[in-house]
Amino acid sequence: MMIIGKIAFRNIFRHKRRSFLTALSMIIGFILLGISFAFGEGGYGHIIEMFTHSHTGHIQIHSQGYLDRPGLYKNFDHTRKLQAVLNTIPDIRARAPRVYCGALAFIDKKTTAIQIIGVDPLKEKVLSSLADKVDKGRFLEPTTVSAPHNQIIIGSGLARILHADIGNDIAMVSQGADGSIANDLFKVVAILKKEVDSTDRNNGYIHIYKAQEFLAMENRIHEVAVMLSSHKKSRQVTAKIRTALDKAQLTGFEVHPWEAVESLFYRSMEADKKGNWIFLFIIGLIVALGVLNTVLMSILERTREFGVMQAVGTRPSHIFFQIVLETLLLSLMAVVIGGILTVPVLWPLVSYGIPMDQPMTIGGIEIATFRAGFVPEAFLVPFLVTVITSTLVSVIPAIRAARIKPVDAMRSY
Amino acid sequence: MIYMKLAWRNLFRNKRRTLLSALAIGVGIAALIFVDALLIGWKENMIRTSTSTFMGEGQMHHKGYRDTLEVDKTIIHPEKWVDKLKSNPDIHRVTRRTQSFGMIASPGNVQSIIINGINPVTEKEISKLDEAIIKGAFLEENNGNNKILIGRKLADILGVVPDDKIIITVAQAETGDTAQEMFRIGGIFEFKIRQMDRSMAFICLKPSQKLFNIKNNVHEIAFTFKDQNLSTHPEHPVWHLVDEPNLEILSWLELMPELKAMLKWLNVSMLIMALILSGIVAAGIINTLFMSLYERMFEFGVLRALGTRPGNMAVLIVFEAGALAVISSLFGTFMGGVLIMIFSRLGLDYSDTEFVSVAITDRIYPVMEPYQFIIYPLALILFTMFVGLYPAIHAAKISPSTAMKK
Repeated sequence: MMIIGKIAFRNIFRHKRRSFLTALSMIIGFILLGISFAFGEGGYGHIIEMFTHSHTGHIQIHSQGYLDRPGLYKNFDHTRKLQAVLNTIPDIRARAPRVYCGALAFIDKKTTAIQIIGVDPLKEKVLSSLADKVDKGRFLEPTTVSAPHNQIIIGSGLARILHADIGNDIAMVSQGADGSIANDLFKVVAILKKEVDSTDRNNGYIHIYKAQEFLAMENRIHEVAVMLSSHKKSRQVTAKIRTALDKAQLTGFEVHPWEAVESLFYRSMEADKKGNWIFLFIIGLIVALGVLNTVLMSILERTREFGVMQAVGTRPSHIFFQIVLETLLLSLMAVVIGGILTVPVLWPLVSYGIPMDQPMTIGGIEIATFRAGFVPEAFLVPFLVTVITSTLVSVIPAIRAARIKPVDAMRSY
Repeated sequence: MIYMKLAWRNLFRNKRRTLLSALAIGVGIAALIFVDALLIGWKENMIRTSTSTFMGEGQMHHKGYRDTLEVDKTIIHPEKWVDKLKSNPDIHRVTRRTQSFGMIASPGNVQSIIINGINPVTEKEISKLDEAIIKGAFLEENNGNNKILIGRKLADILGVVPDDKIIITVAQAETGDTAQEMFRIGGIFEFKIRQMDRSMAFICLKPSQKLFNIKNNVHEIAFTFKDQNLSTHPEHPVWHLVDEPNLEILSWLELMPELKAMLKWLNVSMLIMALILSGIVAAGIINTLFMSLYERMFEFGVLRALGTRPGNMAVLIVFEAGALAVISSLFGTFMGGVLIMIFSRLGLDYSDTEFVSVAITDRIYPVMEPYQFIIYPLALILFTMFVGLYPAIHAAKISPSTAMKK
C-alpha cells in the first residue's frame, strides 16, 4: 500500500504544468467559496452581534402573547422568584428589565409620537451598548423607587423634530396601566448619536422606576432581555430557561431567542444565505467538470503505462486506488495553498469590509458596512467541497484505468 | 479561413474532452444568464411593491417634511399643483394626502401611529389600499367621514373589529394643541408589509384637515406616470415643475434612497459574480488548451517544419479557443434558457422576507431578456480567445526539432 502512495505522489510532479493548472482551478474555487461563506456566515455574524448588543439581547422573556401582540397590559411581576430562577442558569451573562409604551411628546408647539423605553441604567450598561450611543450629555443616573428622577435620553430624530436640546423639558402624555391619563414632565439629559440604527431615532429612554410610576405599573415590567456569551447559544439556552421556569411553576411567560424576536430579519437572512449554497453548487460543478477532464486525459495519456503495470502483475484495484489517491493528494495540496491564500484575500474584507454609501436594512436591521468574518465555515466548507468532489470525480477515470487490458493498452501507443 | 476550419475540426478530434470543457464553461454561462434574469425579476418586484402599494412614482412635499412629518409643513393651495401636474401629458393619476403622527386608543391598548388623510376616489387609482381590505369596506367620500382604516396587525394589538370605536389624538398645526376625535373602524387592510400593517391608519381627507387644523392644505401630492420608465428620467419636465423654494418634487428613486442603493448594489454584485465565474472558467480553458497542445506536440512540430508561420500557429490556437467558446455558448444559453423557463413558471419563494425596507410579498420570477443571450455568450467568446493567447504564444514558440523529437 505504501508504494501506491509513493507512486501517486510522484505522478503529480511528472506533469507539473497540468497538475498546476488542475490545482489552480481547485484553488480559485476554494478561495471564491471561502469568500462567499466568510460574507454569508461571518458577515451575518457581525450583524447579529451588532443588533443583539444594540438593544435586542440574545433572548427575551415576556408575558404570554406579548411578542406577537405587544400591549401595555401584557406585563408581569418582576419578582424575586423569577430572578432567582434566572440566576440558576450559568449561561446568562447579563439581563435587564424593560418597560415599553407609546406616548405623545410636546415641547412648546412641537409634537410627535415617541416610543418610551424604561431601562435600568446600571444593568443596561452591562447588557447593551445604549450608554455608548450617547452623543451629547450624560447617561441616566441611578435613582430610588419612591422618588425617581425624571431624566430622559432621546434619539436624534426626536431631538430634531422637537427642536430639543439638553436641559429642555418634554411634556409627555400617555395612558396608564390603570386606565388613567398619564402625563409628566421629563428633562433631557442626553441625545443619542445620529449614526445609530434608525429604530433608535424616535425612542426616549427613562429610568425604569420612573416609567413604572408614570404608567402606574407598580413593580411590573414588559420584558427581560438576556445576554449570553454568543448569539449561537440562543436557542439552546431558551430551552433551558423554559424548563427552569416550568420546574419552578412560574407560568404565563414566553421565552424567545433573537431568531424569533427579529423573525423578519432571520427569515430574510436565511433566504439570502440560500443563495450561497446555489453559488457553491455552481462552482463545485465547474471545478468537478474541470478535474474530471484533466484526470481523464492524464489516464488516456498513460494507457500504455497502466498496461505495463498490469502486465508486470499490479492488481486492477491497486491502479484504481493509485489514481484516486493521486487526485486526493493533488486536491489536498490545492486546499492547503487555497487556505493560505484565502487569509490575505479575506483580511481587508474582515477588518474594513465594503462600506455602503447608503445604509441598507434587511428585515428591519440596519447595515452600514458589509464585513466578512473569519469563521470556520469559510475554510471548512470549501475544504470539504473541493476534496470530496475532486476525489469522487476521479473514481470514473480510475475505474476505466483499472479495467484496461494489458495487451490492448500496450499496443495503443 | 483554413485555420478556422482546422481549428473547428481539431476540436472534434477529442470529442469527450471538448464536451466536458464545453459543459463546464456552459454551466458558467448558464449561471450568469440565470442570475441576471433573477435580478431583473427581483428588481421589478421590489420596484412594483414599493411604488404601487402606496407611494406612487413621484411625490411633492414641503421641504423637510419627509424627515420629521411635522404637521406644520404643508403644501398651500394644493389644487393649483394638482392642476399643474395633470396638465402634463405624461402624468396618469394624481392624489392628495395628509399625514402626521398621532396616538390611537382602544379600550384595550394605545399605540403611536401615522395617520393619513386620503381622498378615497383618487387614492383608489394610485395605491392598492382598496384591494388590501380584508374586513369591512374601503372609505367612501360621503359616508366615510368618521370611518378609519387600520392595518391587521394594529387591529390585533388594539383588539378591535370593524364598527368598534377608537380615539385618535393628534397635535394640531400652528397652536400645537392636542385634538381628539372619535372614529369607527371602517375596514381592516393587510399589505403583509410590517410597517403598513402595524403603524398606519387612513381617514378621509376632509376630516383629517380639520383634525390637523391645516385648512385646505395637504402634506403630500402623489402621482403616477402613464409609462413607468419616464419616472426615472431626471430630465423630465415634471421634476422641474415647482418654482417655489420651499417645495420639492421627487421621484420614487429619490424617495427611497435605500432602494436606489440596493439597485446599484445588485448591478455591482452581478459584475463581481461575472468576474468570479470568468476566473474559474479561464482556468478551465487554459487547462484544456494546454492539454491538447501537449498531446499534439509532434503535430505542431511537423506544421512548423512544413513552413507554417509562428503567427499562424498562434492564430490556430486562438481559433480553437474561440470554437470551444462557441460550442460552450450553445450549451450555456440552452441551459440558461431552460432554467429561466422553468423558474419563470414556478417562481422562487422569498415571501416573508424584507430587504431595504421593501417587503417581498410575491414569489420572484426570473425575467428573460434578449440581451442576456447575446452579451454573455459574446463576452465569453471574446474572453476565451483572449485567454487562449497564453497557450497560443506558447505554441508559436515551439521549435520544430525539439517538438518532433518527442
